[in-house]
Amino acid sequence: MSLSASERSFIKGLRMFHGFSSEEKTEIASRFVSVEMEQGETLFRSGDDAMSCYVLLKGELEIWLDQEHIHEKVSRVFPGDIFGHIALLDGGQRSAMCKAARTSVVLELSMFDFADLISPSKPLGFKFLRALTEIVVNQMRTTNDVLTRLAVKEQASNRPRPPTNPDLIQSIQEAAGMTVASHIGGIDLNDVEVVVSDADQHRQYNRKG
Amino acid sequence: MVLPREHIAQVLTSIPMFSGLDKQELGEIIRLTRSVEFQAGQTICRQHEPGDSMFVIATGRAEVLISKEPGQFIPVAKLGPGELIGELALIDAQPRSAQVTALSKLEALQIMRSDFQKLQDKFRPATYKVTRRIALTVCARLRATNQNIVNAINPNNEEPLEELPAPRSKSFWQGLVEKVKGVQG
Repeated sequence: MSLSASERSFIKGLRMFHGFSSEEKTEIASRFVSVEMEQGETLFRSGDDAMSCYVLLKGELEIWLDQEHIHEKVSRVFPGDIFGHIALLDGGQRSAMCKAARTSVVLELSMFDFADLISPSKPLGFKFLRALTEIVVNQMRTTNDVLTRLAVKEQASNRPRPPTNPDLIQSIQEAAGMTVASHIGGIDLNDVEVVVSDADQHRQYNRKG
Repeated sequence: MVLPREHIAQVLTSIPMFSGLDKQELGEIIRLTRSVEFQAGQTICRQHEPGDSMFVIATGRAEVLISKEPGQFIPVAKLGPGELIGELALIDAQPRSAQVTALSKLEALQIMRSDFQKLQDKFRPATYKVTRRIALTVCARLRATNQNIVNAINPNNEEPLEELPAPRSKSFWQGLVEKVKGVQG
């Protein structure tokens, strides 16, 4: 159902819309609908075509990796978080499952309204795209940062050992490499050397193997 | 030194970020660029300095270095013509996370974020397209990382988790999956 007055002001108060005019925020809020979820209810599964993106208003959601042979909780969504936007930006499918950890209310923006709001035919579309781009860029910085720090932690824990998963090592290398090559910041330099030496280990491991 | 306009156009259109632009839009981006030249050994950008611009390498090669301690640099990547330095500086301001030094004489095109944003504030389609390209590239990187994590924790993976020393592998994977937030589409 369409939003109540308090739900509308929740959307208008989101940090991502900080630089938007009052009219633009009203326009955006008018496109959302409110959806109640029971505990355990699934919002989407990985592989689904993306139909909407969401902002969590109340409650708590869980993100699970649910690809074949894997069923692992990877993160949680809290009120004020926007999620599901990547698949609308790139037209791809869901890469994870989302379900309610408890009774929750999500505010939903359909792909049609999303497409309308982000359309370059209006100044609003420019701002909307820019706000979302800032969000995904930040997500990437956070991800790179975490990967790098974890690689260090792994390395720091005494025994040398061959990395056992080339994909992950590659992922870390790529994350670190991209971070460095793009100068996108947020990377601890102490960490990078470890990533590099981890990569060296990996190469040695490959040669020996 | 000023690169010929035709060369600038050629360099820019070879880069995915600028490839969807029509002639007029490309012209607007070209007007944002400034040709800069570096000699071998000269620093293009310094670590920790705020990222206020991006560079597109037109000719020559550069090396990406990170320093652990002052004066001690570790090379981590090499860059050549058509490659970008700091393209996300067009989106927001972050300190440079590495130093880039020219390995040879190097010609590059520099775009300042302030200039890009001025054009963006005029709602020029060129800036919309470039921003969209950046967003898509970032989405693709996020998805790739996500998939790598899935592969990493897949028990059916060719190199199973059991081969890792048990106590620390568990915390590593746990930490990884729990902390990588927002990767999911």
